[in-house]
Amino acid sequence: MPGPSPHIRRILIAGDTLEGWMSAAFLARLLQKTGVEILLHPCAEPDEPQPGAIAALPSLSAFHEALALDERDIVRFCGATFRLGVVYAEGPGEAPAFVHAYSAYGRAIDSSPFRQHWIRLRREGSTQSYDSYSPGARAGLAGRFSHPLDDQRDMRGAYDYGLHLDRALYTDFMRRCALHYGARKMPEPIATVVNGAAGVCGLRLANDKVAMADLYIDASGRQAALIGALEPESWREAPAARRFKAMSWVDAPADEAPGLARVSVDAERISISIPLQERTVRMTLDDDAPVMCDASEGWRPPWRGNCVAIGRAAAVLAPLEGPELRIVEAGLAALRSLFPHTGDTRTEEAEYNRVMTAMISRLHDFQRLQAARGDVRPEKLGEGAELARRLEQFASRGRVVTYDEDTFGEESWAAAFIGASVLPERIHPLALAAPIDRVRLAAAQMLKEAQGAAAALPLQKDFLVAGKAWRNAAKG
Amino acid sequence: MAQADEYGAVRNVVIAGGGTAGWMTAAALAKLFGETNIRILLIESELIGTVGVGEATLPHLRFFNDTLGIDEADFLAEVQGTIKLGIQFRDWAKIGDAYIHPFGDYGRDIAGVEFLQYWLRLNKLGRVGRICDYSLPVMIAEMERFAPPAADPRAVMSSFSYAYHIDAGLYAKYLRDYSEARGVERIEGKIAAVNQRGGDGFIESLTMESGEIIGGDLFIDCTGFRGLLIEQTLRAGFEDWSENLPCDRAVAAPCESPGPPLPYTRATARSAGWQWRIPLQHRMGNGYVYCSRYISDDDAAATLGANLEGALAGEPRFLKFTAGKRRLQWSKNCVAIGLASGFLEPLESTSIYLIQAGVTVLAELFPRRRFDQSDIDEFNRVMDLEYERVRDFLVLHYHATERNDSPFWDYVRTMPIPDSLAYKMALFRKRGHIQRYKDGLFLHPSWVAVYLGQRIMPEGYDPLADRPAQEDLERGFADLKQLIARTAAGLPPHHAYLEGARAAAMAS
Repeated sequence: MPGPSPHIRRILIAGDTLEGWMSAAFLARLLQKTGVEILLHPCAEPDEPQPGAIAALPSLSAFHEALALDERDIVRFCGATFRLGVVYAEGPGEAPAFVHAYSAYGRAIDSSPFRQHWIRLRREGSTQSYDSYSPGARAGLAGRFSHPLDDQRDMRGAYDYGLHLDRALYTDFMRRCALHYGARKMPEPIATVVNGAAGVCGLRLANDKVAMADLYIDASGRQAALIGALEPESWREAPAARRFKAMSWVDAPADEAPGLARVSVDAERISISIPLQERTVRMTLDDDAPVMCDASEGWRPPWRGNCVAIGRAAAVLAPLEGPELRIVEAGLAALRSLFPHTGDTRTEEAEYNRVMTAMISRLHDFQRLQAARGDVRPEKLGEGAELARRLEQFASRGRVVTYDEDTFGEESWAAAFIGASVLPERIHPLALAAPIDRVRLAAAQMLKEAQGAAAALPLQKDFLVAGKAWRNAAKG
Repeated sequence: MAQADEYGAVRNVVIAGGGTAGWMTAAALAKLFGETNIRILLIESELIGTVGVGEATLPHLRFFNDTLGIDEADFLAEVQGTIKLGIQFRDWAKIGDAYIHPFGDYGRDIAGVEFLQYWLRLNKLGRVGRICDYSLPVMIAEMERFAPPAADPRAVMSSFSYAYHIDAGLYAKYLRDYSEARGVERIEGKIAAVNQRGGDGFIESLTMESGEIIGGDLFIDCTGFRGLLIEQTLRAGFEDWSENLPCDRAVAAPCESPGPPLPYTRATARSAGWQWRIPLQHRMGNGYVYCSRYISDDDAAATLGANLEGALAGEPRFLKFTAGKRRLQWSKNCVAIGLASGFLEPLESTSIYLIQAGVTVLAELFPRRRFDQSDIDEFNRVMDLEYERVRDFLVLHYHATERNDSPFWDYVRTMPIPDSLAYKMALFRKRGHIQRYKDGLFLHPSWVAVYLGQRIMPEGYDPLADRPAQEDLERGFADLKQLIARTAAGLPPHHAYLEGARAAAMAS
């Protein structure tokens, strides 16, 4: 049998929230058979209400694999739909309706990225939108879905996907997974935190007993019951030109053609609709609407001493482009790579905070670009040298700057800029060197392939029904 | 709109200086931009010696050659090339030490935990061999064999890469022929003056000693250390890194090969620097890189002479340099490539790589006649990062030493180091953790090789490496070691590969 982990014998998770159960499941599975106790306590102070649906990016599949979960079970038990990307309604200003898909947009021609050729064709009079070359975008718009082929050189394999999940059902799913791997739900809620110089000394429960552990995970949500008490001044408001104080949401009928989250951005509000199997959850950021939860955005260094904040205790970002689960998943992956083996964790803490702060800030930069669509100017984006550099380089010549800890890659950033109406001023001379007729021909071929790839897929609603039928057959 | 781009395009590129920097730039631009309406001129003087001595390279050069459509067998024949699987460092952390920094991975990650961490666990218990035993390229190198890597990622033969040892002067000649065949014009002669235009100070033309005036839109400074254009004219400035990389001289000499060439470079630490040993087909390249504060030129030459494995095959040549980089690698309409852009000693064979990086980024950011500041700033950012990554990695070799047998080693062992490196070293010392970055050189395995080779042993390791049972882990390691040794032993000798390449080149 394996040797023990000498330093961490007990981990205490604060908050029976989605991130609390994700943390419990992840850590319980990671430390299975090592004898480490994973205990989860709810907080006495209830978590603020949250919208009923949540988006998962393609990267969450690695998290599910680590938990040995079958995606089909998640889709069936969490009322999920498959997520090919996000569609933005037209406006404000000149911004066209546009899909940000997890997908290739066309293909390179003569080593120049397709976007260079697309700009050229557009200047020559083509009216094909950039996203019409994306098989993921086309499939999403048509409400079609099936798993991509393994071969990424084929348009039928040139897209990826995430999930739209019912938050309550997914939380419950994670809870059952955590319990299955040996985590324990403790009944007594946490009332207050007992702090010391080095971090958390213990958690005073509602029954006045003190619960102690070697490592504390703050999964209490925005209230940040643990890390907020340790470091009250550490919260930083997110840099932004647009700030909303409030978010509200409402249930709407199910989307007949699910596959994409639907976003509309205008001067007063941003609304985001997430399609689930049985209903659609429509969220609105709008200071004039009823407040259902605080929409202010920000983050803090998540690790302090013996306490690591996971999820909203670390960072709260608006639900645009699926940040919440990404922050949880990245926070847990980073914790795993720097898992403490001694009592002195200052080195790990510094590296963790460096990586997580970079990751969160770069994710937020992507959101800021999307929120500024139609009128992307430095003054509309807010502070930050990195986003300014990305904008400068793309607007100048279609160059996509990428950084370590980026959530979104080159294709996504290029799509976001183009979809937001930022078109490069210049075409690269190497792209211009290709004879225009050859480029037209190649582009027409790509268009056909992207169209064909999407059209060949079943309707997602049929695909989901077939999945349910499988489950019923298995049960019966 | 397309017309406006055309109108504003850079048409005339003037490369000042030949050598590897000049001709790599010419060849790459000729190949990439050959279909555009571009004119490339290169000015060099037969009279000005280029630095070219035996040079080791990085695997990136293979990609460069592929892009240019250069066949490997032809290339090896032209440049007297041999294969390089890595660099053997001798006497660095301690006299008597030897380790190879290879082009390749150590083992495989298991269950999301790095192979290194499992090795550290077993090493603490004294239950495992050298980490090199789990590196296929190290074993192939030590056995003096070679065969190209496999493409299938599941095969152990896919776990490494390779580069070359070349005669850089011959490579420059080869690229000159390549470039001239693709329309690059060569102008023989020396540059007497650099003429700037009024107003913005852009370089307008170069006046040759012959009186001929050469105009251009974009000027590439490949004039070497002096940076005739970028520094002597445009005053870009130099960031001096000699505090951390104090070597400022080199004496180089070829000698006869003592036997078949080894498929790796050797860098042997000496009392005031280090000596390189670069095996070429026709002879051996050698040099002593040293710090003039701690040894005289004569003594350095004598040290080199006393440490050659064969008869001297040419006059020793002396070089002076300062470690560092140009503050601005691109200023106005002038881009510095090669030694004009900066210098880092060839300890990890980065000189030709930095040329390639400069040329690649220039092609990506190819300017128009307006010379957008956003292109210039971006080029400088990207190249600064490349230089800083290499600098930190080189400083590690010196600073992580236990040697105290000379004032030189005392100095480097105790000198203050860049914060970026200090942070990385603290992270490794704590638990063998290495940051993964995507831009710039030296991936995870390189850092592992040098940290461990330089005797930086982590205090702890990832506790998740404790999960597998001891016997299972030991068995897995033993199997891997055997697989690697068996695979390496089954390959043909290095010289057989070179002979095969020679035959192929002659046949074509």
